[in-house]
Amino acid sequence: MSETISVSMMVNGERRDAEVPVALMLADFLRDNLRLLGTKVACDQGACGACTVLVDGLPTTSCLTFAFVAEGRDVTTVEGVTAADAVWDAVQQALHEHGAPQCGFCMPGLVMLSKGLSMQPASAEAAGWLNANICRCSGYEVIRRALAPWIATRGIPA
Amino acid sequence: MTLRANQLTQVGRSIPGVDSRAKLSGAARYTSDIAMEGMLHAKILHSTRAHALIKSIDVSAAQAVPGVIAIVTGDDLAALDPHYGMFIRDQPVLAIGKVRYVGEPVVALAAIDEATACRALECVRVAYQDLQPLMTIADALAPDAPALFTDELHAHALPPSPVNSRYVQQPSRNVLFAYDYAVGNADAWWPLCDHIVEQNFSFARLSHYSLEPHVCVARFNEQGLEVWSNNQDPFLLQLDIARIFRLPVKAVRFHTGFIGGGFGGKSYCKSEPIGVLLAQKARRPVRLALTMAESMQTTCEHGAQIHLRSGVSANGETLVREANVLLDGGAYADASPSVAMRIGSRFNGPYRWKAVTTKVKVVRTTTIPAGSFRGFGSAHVTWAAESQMDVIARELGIDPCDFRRRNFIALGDPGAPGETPLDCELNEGLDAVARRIKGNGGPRINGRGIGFAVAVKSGAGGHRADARVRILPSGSALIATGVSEIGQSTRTAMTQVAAEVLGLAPEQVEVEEIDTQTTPFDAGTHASSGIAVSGIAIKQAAEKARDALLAFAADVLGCRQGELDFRQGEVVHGDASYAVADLVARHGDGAPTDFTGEASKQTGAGFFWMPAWTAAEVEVDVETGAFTVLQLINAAEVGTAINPQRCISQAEGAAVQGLGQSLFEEIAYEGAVPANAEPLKYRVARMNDLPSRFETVLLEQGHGPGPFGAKGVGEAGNLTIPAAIANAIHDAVGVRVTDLPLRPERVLRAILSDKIR
Repeated sequence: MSETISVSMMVNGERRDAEVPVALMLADFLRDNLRLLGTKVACDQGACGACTVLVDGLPTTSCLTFAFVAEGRDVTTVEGVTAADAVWDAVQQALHEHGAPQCGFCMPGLVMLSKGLSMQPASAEAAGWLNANICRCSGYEVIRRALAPWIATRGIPA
Repeated sequence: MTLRANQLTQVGRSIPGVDSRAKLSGAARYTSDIAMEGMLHAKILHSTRAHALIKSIDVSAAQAVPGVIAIVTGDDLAALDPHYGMFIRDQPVLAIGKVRYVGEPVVALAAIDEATACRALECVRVAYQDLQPLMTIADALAPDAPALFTDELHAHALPPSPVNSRYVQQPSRNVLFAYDYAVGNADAWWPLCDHIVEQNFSFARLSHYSLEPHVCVARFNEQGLEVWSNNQDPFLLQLDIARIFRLPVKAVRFHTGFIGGGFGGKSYCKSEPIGVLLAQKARRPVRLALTMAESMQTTCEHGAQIHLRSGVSANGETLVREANVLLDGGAYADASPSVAMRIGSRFNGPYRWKAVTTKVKVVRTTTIPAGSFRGFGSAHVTWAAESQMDVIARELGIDPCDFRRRNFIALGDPGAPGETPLDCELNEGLDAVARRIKGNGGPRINGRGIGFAVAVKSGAGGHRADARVRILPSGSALIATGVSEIGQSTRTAMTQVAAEVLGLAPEQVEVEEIDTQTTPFDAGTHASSGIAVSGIAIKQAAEKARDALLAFAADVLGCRQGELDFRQGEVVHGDASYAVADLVARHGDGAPTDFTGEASKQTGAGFFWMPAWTAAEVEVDVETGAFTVLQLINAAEVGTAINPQRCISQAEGAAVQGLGQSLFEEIAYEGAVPANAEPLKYRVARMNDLPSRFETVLLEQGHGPGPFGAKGVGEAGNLTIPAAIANAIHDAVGVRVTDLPLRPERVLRAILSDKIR
């Protein structure tokens, strides 16, 4: 662990430079180094998606991504979505109005996955994205209803 | 003051959760987000052996790793009272001389960061002398099986047997607990039965799979011990930790914030004492954050074997039933005795029987200790009982719904002598799901079938909850209960109850975080008791706080209290209204800083009933046994819905857990090692697994004992799903699967053996 590497990336629009252990994960860099605690680490195996952030606009499981992989890239966390001029994102608003959060631990990851999805052009590849994240509480139906507008335009079977 | 439903302004509204914005914005703080100055990070070395004596533990190399501050083993427990368990204290904080399952904590250490802690653990050497593993119920009950426990049990404070029953601790080798239940004269009724159906069922070991793993931060200071944990029972844990560490209860203080899911897995003492032990030895704050894989090896749902025999009359009257249940309790007791009692006393289900006898045994095996899980035994009962109801109906040639309706317990009747009378009407829910799933009827499609299941679960038995409501000079209210916010929306529901009583908007009510030093006592976030029990306490506390305010206002204004009202945060007197702060100012010196009401609610054996109804439609491929759940229609009955949307979400979430259990959930063992007790390998339902039609009907029959007629809802929605799907498979292809999960190969095997026959 003594081996370190310098990284430089944009996080939520702000340039962040740091000397970090080579094996440091992006999730830990965001949470421990930058204290951006909105990003959650749940399964720590890339199975559940709670740690999802956007890297250059693409949803990425930050618990499985080395911090140095984000070198020179744009990273957006849930704080970045929420903080921009205090504008509550349309995806967050839809999940809020439909009452999606229960325990809430999966929600930041789900918000980022949905946000990434909403920014993509419709494609077959985007179909099934929402299958990537696990919510153990809600039973998904409320999420499916909240995200129906985006699901419909991305051609994802609802 | 009694409010009628049409006068309610806050109760019955589907407002978004009061914590929804915090959770969606990432601002909500969970225990896993807590960090403090000087905090160390702990990791645990788990047993790699199922059953072994610990010959030696060498921590010297780990101790030499720079950054390692404290290491603890079973030897560090000598001065403590080191065992815990809900009724039977048999589980050591760390293994003492012996391990009893793969995954059992053996050594723990605290270091300056997690990476250092992990590297140091790799340097620990444990020498084991293997003993015979007991991986299954059959292994443990074999005549030559070694005893898992040879010393005396650490029993304490066992509750009285529920009505109509008795129990015995450790009746025989490797049997932790035996529970016998009997009502009616079964021997007299069996000969009078026209049809008797007898089957064996199995129920797979499940994982809670809550997304936030177990985590705690512990630190000692001049006042004593302070712990932040995501355990759902802060007050019970406070008592346990005080006992284990021989501290005065008042010197132990627990904080509980948002909890990232639990489903039973965060009830009662778990790994928290390890964090405390390290904090004590290191003399620094210690954070013990398990991985999700570690959490999955901490506790699980009981696997079970169920033998069920039911006898009925020719015209379809349920007469007599007998159940024999073997529960796989795993290595340690945890909540198993209590689960066994619930299972044993619930086999009458939602029907009238002349006689019911059950025998439940909890068997110790060298596997993950089983504990509380959503439904607390009712899932086991419902799986077997509702499968068998369907089989009986088919043998009698009666429509399965008609057979159920013929035997339902009526509203207001106790299901068995001494039981709480049923507080719901069962036909309405069954009619609702049956009507929806059948739609306009139409011709029967080959390979498709419909199945039903009904369950009732008792809620909030033997619970105590206190509550406090304070009206502040601002006119807003601060409310406090000991119910943990674990995703069930307790903060939202309590806010709505208090807002209703006080005439406030939900935004004018704030919920205090749980701090055992200041928060009113609660017996634990258990058994769907929150809204029904604490809700009553909050309602009464709010009424008292309002009375205190109005008495004060009457004094200041020189009028009678009866002339005053409290609305929208102001005291109203005729056409005039007064801000609370102005009244306080007008009173001058000695004015109160707030107006407080406190209340308490204690319940008896069963406080209310949670019913669940499910109708499922499946399509089965007879060539492969694969099947698709096309429709899943559920109904829940909640007395009065404080927040209908939140109630539906509870029912839906539970139903999808039941769907996962039906289709694929099972912690399997390969030899002595759990094969899939980690998140990547344990399959839970994802969005694509939802049936194309998935609906939930919310019924409000108004008979709940809680505030405004409410009851709990959280534990019913999963109970009925597996049996409804198995019944649908039977309807589709005429074969019965009696093992969970309902894997395609099991369906195919049933189809093939049916053809051979």
